[in-house]
Amino acid sequence: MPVANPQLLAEKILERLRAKPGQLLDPGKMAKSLNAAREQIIESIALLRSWGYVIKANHKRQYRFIAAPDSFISTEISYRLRTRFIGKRIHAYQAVQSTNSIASQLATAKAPEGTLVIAERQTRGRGRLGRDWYSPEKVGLYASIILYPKIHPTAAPGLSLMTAVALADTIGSYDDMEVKIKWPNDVLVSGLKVAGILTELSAELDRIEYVIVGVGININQTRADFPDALKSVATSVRIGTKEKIRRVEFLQRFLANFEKEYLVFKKSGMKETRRKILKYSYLQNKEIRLKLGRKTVSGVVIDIDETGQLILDTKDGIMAFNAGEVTTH
Amino acid sequence: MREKTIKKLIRLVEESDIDQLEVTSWGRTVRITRRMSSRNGHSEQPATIQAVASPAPKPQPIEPVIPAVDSTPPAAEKKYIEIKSPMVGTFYSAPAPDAPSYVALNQKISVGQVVCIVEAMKLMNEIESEVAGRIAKILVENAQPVEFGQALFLIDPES
Repeated sequence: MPVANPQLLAEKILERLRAKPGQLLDPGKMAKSLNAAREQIIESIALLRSWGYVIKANHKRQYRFIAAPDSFISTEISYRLRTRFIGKRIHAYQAVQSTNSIASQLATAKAPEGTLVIAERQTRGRGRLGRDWYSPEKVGLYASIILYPKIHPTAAPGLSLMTAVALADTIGSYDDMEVKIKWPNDVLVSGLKVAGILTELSAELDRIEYVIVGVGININQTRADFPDALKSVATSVRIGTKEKIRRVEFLQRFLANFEKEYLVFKKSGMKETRRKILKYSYLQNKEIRLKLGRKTVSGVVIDIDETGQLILDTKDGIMAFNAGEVTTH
Repeated sequence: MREKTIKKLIRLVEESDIDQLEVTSWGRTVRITRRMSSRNGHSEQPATIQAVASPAPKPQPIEPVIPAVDSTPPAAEKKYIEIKSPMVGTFYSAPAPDAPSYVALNQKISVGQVVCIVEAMKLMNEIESEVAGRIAKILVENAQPVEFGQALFLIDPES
C-alpha cells in the first residue's frame, strides 16, 4: 500500500535524502523501499521544494539534498527534535495576531501538552499589560507552548521564571554571549532586551486549567532593523554572536531546554529554578526603582525568594514584590 | 527577616490579645499591628504587618509584603458570591494602564466574563466570573497586592 499522506511521504523522503551528506538517491529505488509509486516520489520532491528545501537532480535523475529552509514549518522543526512532548504537535502560521491567543483557543479545545504555536509574523504581538511586542517577519521567533501542569495555581508564576532560565541557557549556548535575566523574566544580552516572555494562566481556585507560555525572541535583526524607539533598549542574538543564526536550530535548542527545565520545575518546584535565576540575575545588588500602578519604590535588590518575588531593601524596610516595572539607575 | 518568620509572628499576634508587636533582628525592625477597623463592617481584622526602617518609621510608598487579608464576607452580605484570587499576585482592574476597567460597580456581568487580571512574576491570570449577576462591591484597588483566596469582588447573583 502506498503511503497515503503526502506530507508524511515527503518527510520520509527528506529523512533519507538527509541521512548522509551528499548522498544520491534514485527515485525508482526510493519508491520501492517506501512502498510508493515513482510518480509519488517525484511529486513529493516538488512538494519539498515548494516548502523551501533545495534538492538537486543530476543527469541520471538522482536526487541530492542541498539545503533546508530556515523557516518555521513543522517538517523542519520536527527534524531531529530532541524532546519527548514539547513541540511534538506544531501549529505553524505565516502570520497571526498573537500566538498566545491561538494557543489559548487550542488549549480550551484540549490540544495535547507541549503543543507549539509558532508564526513568522505577529500582527498584534502582545506584551505585559497591553503593550506590543515588535514582531517583524523572518528575523524573530514568536511562539507559544501549551502546558497543563498538575500544580497549585499559586505555584504557576514559577513557570514564568523557568522559561526565562530555558531561554537564557539557549542564548548562552551560542558563543560570546553574556546573558542575564532581569526580574522577573526579561532576557538581556549586554544589558539590552533580547527576549520577552508572556505567560498566561487559566485557573480555578485550586486547579490549573492550562498555562500558555509565550516567547518573543529577537534573533536575526541587525541594529538597523530595529525601529528608533527600540534601538537603545533592544538587541538580537545575531548582534551578540556577530553572525546569522539558524532560527529553526535555535528553536529546537530552546524546546529541549524548556522541556528539561519544565520537568525539573515540576519535580522540585522553584528550588532548582531559583538557583539558576540567581546565577543569571541582572538586578542582584543593584539599586533600582520599581513602579507599580501609580506608586514607585526605590531600593537595592537583595534576593529573589522561593516564590520568585523580588526582595528589595528599601528605606522602609525589606519588601517583596510579585509585579512591577523595574528601572535601573 | 524571612517571610516564614514574619508569618509566624503574625500568627502569634492573631492568636494572642496583644495589639502590637515589634521585633528587631539584624538591625531591621518589623512591627505587627492588629488593625481595629470598621471597614466592611468588621470590628476586627487579622494582624497586618509593617516593615519599619530603623530608627525612624516613615510612611510607606507601597503596600507591605504581606497585606491584611480578609476574605470572609460580612454577615449582612451573605447573599453575595465572592470572586477570589487563585494566587498571590497584583490586581489589575484593566487590561492596560490607559484602558477602561474590565468591570465597574453595579455593572451586570455574565458567566465567564473577565473581571480583572492578577499578575505574579509576569504570569497573567485573567479572572472570570463563574456566575451571572451584578458587581455589588469591588474590594481591591488597581495595582494592589492580593493573597491566595482573597475576595476581589462581591457579586449579587441573578436569581
